[in-house]
Amino acid sequence: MSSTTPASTDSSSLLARLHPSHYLSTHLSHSSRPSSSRSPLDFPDVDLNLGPIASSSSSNRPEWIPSPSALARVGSTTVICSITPSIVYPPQMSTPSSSQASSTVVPSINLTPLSSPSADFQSGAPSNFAQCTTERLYEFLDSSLPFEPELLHIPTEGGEAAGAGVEEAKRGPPRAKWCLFADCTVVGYDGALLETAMLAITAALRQLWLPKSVFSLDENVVIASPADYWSLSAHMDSLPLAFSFAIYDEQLLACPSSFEADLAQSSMAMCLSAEKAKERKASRSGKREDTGDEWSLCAMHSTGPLRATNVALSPGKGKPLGDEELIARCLALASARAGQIAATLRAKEADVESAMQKARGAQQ
Amino acid sequence: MSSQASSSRAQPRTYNALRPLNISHGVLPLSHSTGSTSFSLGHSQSSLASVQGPIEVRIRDELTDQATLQCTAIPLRGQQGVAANSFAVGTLQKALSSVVLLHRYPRSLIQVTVQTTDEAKASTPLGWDRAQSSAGRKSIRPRRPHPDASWTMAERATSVNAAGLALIQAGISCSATICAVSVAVVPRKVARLTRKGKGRATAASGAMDEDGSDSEDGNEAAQIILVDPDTFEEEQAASVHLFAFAMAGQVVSCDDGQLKGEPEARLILVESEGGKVDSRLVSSAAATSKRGALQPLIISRIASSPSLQYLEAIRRARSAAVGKIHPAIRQSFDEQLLGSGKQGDADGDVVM
Repeated sequence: MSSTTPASTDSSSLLARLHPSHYLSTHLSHSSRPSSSRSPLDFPDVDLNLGPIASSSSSNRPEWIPSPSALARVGSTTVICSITPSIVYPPQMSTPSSSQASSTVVPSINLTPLSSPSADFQSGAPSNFAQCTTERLYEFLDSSLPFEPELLHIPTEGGEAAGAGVEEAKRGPPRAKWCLFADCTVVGYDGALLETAMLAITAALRQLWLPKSVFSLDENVVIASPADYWSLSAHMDSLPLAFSFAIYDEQLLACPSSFEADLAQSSMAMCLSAEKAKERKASRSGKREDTGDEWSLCAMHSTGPLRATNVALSPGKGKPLGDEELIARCLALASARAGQIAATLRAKEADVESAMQKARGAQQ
Repeated sequence: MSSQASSSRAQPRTYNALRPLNISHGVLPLSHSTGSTSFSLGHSQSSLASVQGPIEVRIRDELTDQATLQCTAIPLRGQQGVAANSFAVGTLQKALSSVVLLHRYPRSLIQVTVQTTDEAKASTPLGWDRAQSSAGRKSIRPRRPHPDASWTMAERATSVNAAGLALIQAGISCSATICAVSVAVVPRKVARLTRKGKGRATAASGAMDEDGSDSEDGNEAAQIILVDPDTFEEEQAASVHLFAFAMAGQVVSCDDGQLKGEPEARLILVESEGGKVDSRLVSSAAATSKRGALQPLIISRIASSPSLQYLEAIRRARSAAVGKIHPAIRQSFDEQLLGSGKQGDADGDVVM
């Protein structure tokens, strides 16, 4: 990938284009970062817009239900995610109960040429970079499992409503199940793609409502209720979020921009998920306790040597951190940030919820 | 009880033991590849890597100051999907770029191709209740041989090892030797079935010893760290990990006036997937870590303590890499270059 730099022609941007390593080193020696007012260990601002795509999912959806889409912005990177649920019919093979031949959630990333003038994104088949990011998202979603996969199984023959599919899972693959296609389109790109896409997917998943449906063996088709919908977020226990770090010249950078990421020798991406304790389930309908979310590591991907000198265990200690200690330190930084992002997400969801109640009330 | 719960193997291994390693160099004829190596763990998980290079590069891929490293990974069954491409480009290439001295071969191409030649099917050990298999890790991804299925960690480990060795075999300058190890964190009932633990420890604090004895905690849902898991263990694992270390040089320490050298292993690749970390294991490992090498005091001051089990997993992987894989690699090169009657110095004149 080519290095991305600001397009203006003043001398600092010329220096960035001609001598990128020197430019970045000089910035870091003053504890600043190019094109941003953050310090090396700061994360960028996060903004969310829930349900921006009105035509998302299906057109026979009742109007009071929000569309399962989200627009997330982290720094200068903007990603829109839209969830399209569709029904798949898994092959009925006699395999162990936990195996499956088709996916449940399929993420995909579309890097549009309009997202970045300097990065060379072409339209057409996904590039290696897009494929790698998609694979990371797949791994992170698989590791954090925001909801039970059996939830999306469609019960057969008019049994209980969806959500009771968990008991049926043990009897073999379902005749029909929902498959969620989480399609992300990158509208603006400046690094931090994994974070933004993960946030957009998580937010969109929590906006998803599916109709109660059954698979009728008589007619061999799935019958869905036109008005009776259930919300996926009511069954989502965890909130997966991704964070990325880069190490350039033994300086740790949190959430690197694409300019920094291209030059970095090492990169780390981690997925954290808030573990909601079981006892809190009872109070979910009431007030949620935002403080005290325990963030645990679900998945991690890191390449390159891990050694940084600008993070210390306590201020003034100055001993360079390597390997395990560095991972632990990054985990701590990410956990702190995750709490803030989760609070933002919940605040937005509360707004959507109240708007939905009004619309529902107005309809009835 | 532990010996009665037998696995399908004749002799179950301990928690930290690797399957027997088998390394063969020069598997493919020189007319086909500059260097090739086959690496296998046990009798059923093996990969073959082939290196071509430095050769001529296409103009559009040419880099003026370093070699272009191009990696391809091919699964055993099915097509190369997103998982295989992402492993090749995102994982293998980045890991190899950290150790290959690319700046010595400007304007050229080094091609690395890794093919999985054998993969272990999950064999259910005796005494495993099929109905319990739903307790294994649930997944939103399809299973093999679907192209979107993820690669097992053991497969990734053998592929990374084979690729690193093939590069050395091809004579391409590297700054370090790569040793990759896979680790799984499994529920205790799985570990008891497939591995041999040393019985129950009597320490009331519930320490986890290096040789794999587990605590008196008595909780069947507690988790155990296994090194080099086979396919069944990976399927039932709560989380699976791949750690690759770059081994170069030695860390010399002075103990009681005697210089002691240990190969230095720097972590260059981490891939972890799976679930949440069990916090019960965390406190016991911290309280009574006998080795002290993990600097428990420092770790306890870091806010996010659930990472302790994770750090313990890294430590186990590192000792496996240093203790088992690296010596096996050196021995394989000694045998190849110096003949089977090795006359080289015991410390190894062969520079890795």
